[in-house]
Amino acid sequence: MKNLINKILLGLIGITLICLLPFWVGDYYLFLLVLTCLNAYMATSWNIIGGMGGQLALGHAAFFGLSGYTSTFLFQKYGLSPWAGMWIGMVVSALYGALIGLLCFRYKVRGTYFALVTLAFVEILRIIFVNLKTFGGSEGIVIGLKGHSWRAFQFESKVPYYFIILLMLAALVLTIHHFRNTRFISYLRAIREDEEVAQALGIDVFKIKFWGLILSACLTSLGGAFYAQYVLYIDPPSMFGLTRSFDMVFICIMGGMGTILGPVLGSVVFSAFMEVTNAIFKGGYGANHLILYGILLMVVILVFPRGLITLFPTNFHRRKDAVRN
Amino acid sequence: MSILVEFLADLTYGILTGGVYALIAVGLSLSFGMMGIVNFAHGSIVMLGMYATYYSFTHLGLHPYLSMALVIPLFFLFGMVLEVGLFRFMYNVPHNNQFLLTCGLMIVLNNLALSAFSANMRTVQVSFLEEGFSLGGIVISYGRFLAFVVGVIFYLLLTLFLRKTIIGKAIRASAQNREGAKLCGINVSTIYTYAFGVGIMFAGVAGLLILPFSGAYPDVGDTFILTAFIIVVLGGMGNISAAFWASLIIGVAEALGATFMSSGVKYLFPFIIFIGVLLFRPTGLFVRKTGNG
Repeated sequence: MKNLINKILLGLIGITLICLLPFWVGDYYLFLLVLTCLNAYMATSWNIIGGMGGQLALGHAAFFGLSGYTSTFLFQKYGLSPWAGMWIGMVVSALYGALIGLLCFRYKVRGTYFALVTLAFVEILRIIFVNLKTFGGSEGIVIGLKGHSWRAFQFESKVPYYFIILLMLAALVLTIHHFRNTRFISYLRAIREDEEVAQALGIDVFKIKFWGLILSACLTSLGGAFYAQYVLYIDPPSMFGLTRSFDMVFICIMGGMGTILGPVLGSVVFSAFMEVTNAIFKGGYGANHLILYGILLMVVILVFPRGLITLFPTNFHRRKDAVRN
Repeated sequence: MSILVEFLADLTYGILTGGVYALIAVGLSLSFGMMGIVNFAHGSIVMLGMYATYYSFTHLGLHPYLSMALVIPLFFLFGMVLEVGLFRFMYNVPHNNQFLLTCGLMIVLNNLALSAFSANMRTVQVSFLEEGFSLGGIVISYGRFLAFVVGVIFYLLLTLFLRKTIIGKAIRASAQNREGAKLCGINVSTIYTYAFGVGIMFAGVAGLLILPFSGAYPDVGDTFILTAFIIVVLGGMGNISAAFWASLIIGVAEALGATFMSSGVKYLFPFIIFIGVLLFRPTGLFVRKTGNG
């Protein structure tokens, strides 16, 4: 009983701190905080198909970008509120995800091949969007300021953005935590461990992987719409670029694939590391801290192959969550 | 009539480009097919090859083609060092982690180049390579033509090496069956080191050949790496000769796409071919029973 009260107290203090954080730090750090939450959100979304399902999808920028472009286009052209546009963007992303899933999983494209096909699917989108004048071509779209209001998803301060993305992240993490023992997620894990065995046990592998991908795509797409409204500028490289796809994968693997809090931890470490090294190593075309980042990636994966979350006591990442080697 | 000439010009141009792609893809195919490693850093090695050639041109005054004497041993050694120092630890690691490791290497190499050589585009001007000759109304520059010829020569040398020499045979044996090769007394890990060295050397030479008609900049490798993967998968894993033919196909597809669609969407074709092949012929276009060599 005492233990429980302690836990609740600790939780309340944590929540209060997180909620007070934006009023305490400056504008610059608030900007970083929002990006950290967004990265954590996207890595968690990727984690569903990538970490829990074990499918190395390298093309999640497709869903991110499609939804960002959809909501922005509808907002600019027809004045549709991004709050509505992001759901339409989600449908578009889900359809694209369905196309990828249908083709790849129906024809049993796996492992490395699946990774390369998903990469190809996002490159196709990037090339198309660079060449489509309707969507601004390679110059991209600058989202016009339409007054600071909830309807336009534009705010004068960054604080509302922080709470929106924090809420999205918390809702996602808690939902996954709540459903962690459901049949769907257990099936995904079974497929990750051994697809043939899962099939032999009577799991409809195609169906589970397909819906896993779509779910992951839908969640990622909400992040894309949020990002577009947050930076108010989108162009093909920032929406469909390789780094966009890779970053969420890096963060998730670094933190701990298949675990619930791993992606969040990965995102915090990623942001903190980038910020600190960037401050120390100025100059050199901003490349010096990226060299260190590359080294960090390699060292983390060689020393902690199951992610940084394994540093923490096991009740944070129950053993069966993490990917086995 | 003019469409026919244009078509033939594209065909020639595409085949010439394909010859250079082949060098990148063959090197990648060696490591991808043998060790099953998706080496995302391979494009960065091509980039390093371009810079090595550039600096031996500006500082040592070496003609780009003569700097081969420098690039070949340098990159062979570099490849062996990479294998011993990093890739050796990757063979038994899950795919996800391999991907992260090679991406980490790519980020390190690209940013080292950015830090050391700056983001400026570096080009070399060699008057002879920029001139061209006409072949039935199709103008071909010596630079591209020589790059193709050298690419083909290297490819042929590699096939000879793999078929006739004892090390080459050992490489093929280790690729086909690692355990079996070990049982036959082949030191598989040394063989991997050699094979990887050869692959990296080919990437370096590819960079050298590309430099005269395309500038070097730190991220230039990114444009090659996806194309190279497409080619390798198109040909079938570890199948060197198939990778060569697949390179020509991709080169031609790009060239034709540029003329008959628009230059922006020419890059679409390789991806569409790639997806189609992976879905309907996942073992590659050219499947042979013996596979390698």
